[in-house]
Amino acid sequence: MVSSSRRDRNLETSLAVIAVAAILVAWVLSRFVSGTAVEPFLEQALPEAKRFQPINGDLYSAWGPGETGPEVLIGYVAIGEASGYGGPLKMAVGVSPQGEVLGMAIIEHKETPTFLYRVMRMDFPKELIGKRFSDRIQLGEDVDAVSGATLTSRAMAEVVRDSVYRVASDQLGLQPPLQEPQKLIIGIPELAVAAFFGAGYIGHKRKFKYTKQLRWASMLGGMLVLGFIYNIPLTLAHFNSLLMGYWPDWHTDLYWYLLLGGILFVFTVDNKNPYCEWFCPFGAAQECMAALGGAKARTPRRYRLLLLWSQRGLAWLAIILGLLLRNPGMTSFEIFGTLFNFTGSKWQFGLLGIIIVASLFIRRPWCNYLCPVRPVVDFIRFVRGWIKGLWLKRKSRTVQSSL
Amino acid sequence: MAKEKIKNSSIKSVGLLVLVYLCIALVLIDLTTNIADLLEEQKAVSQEVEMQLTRQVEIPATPEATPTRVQASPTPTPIPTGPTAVPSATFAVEDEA
Repeated sequence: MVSSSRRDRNLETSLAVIAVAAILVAWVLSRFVSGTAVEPFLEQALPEAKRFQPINGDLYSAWGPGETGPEVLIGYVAIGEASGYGGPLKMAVGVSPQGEVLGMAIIEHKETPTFLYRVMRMDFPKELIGKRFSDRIQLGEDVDAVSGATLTSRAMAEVVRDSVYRVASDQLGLQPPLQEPQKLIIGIPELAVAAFFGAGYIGHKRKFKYTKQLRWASMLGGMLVLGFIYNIPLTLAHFNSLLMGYWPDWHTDLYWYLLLGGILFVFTVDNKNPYCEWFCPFGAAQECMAALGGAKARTPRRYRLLLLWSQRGLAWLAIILGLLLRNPGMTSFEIFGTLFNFTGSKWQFGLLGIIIVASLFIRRPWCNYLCPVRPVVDFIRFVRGWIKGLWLKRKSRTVQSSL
Repeated sequence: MAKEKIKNSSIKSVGLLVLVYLCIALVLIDLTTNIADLLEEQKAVSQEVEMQLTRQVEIPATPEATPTRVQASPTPTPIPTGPTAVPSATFAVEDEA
């Protein structure tokens, strides 16, 4: 007779295989999704133009009525792309014949809607309009980043800079400033995440006496730096981007690589989750509420499997939809930005309210029942165990045959 | 006493289950709204493209008149370079029939 734990394991294996197969099918299908047509956005980037004429694949000349009759060239529209938070961000940028940015329109993006909403609400495009071919158009120099949506604003500035420089040098015979080779950006988030991994490493040592205190320090630091200041917690969008092959430039997005690489590395070597319990900003916020309300871990034995599989099903659905729509951020349903940035839909604010109140009585309700990162982490753990099992089996066979 | 404890714990369990499913419902509504917005945006874009490519041109009334379609020329004409140059026609008019 097959034991129930073995049966559960077999079921888990079968479901994992089906889930991966479905993700693969969605990935293949998404390859056939055609990109957005650029034509309607040319007009948005340069509304004064009456007609656009292609110069090459991603550059158009824009023509408008002349004062005395015939059409005159009123500018150019360049199509450009840069790596944003969730993947490539494609824009149309209108440039005057004097090399000045006149307007812009977003053609396609993979950003989490709340990030883009924040950028638009802060009127970030207005900051870029009027920039000239002779300006550096660098975030932190002559352009202010939108806090809480740094990657999205950086991508927009990058597209505008590349477009205006391209028009200036290729069409107008003007000389834009020499672009220095991309420097490696190491800022507070990169240093903080390295410090959090270090704290986790020290905290997991058996001889270390102050694990509890160090964990709280790490959590509060994570909540403050990765949450309230930068709003860059780990989300499903990170894993979706990884699956879709939207790998950002490591010079500018070292944080992305440190976070994902660090987590995967620690899992592979140690089978421990270095993130969720140690420096997840939203987890820390829930634990603060738990400390106030005296919350306890509650998972009714009767519904344990139902709750577990509901959470996994939700994460799976979000990954599949993200792949099909080719938009990693679109289906990333976490409410982190709602708490740390105060942006989100009414549904997200409603959900946040429920989670905050529930956190007073239940330990980490979001993490335990809803967070999509947990099923991903479970899956990584499962794959690791499976590979390790195969390897050990093979090793024991080799030893037996040599005896 | 023990019975009451079991009853209480059972109510708490069901309460938790209801709470979790309420949250899942909110997540699904939010996801659906986002996806619907995206699809609507894409639809609007494709309609705009369609409109730009198939602008109907009115033809003087003749018995066999058929609507004509304005289509992008397969071979683009040379691009003018001067700021005041008059561009040549970008579109060719073709009969739809």
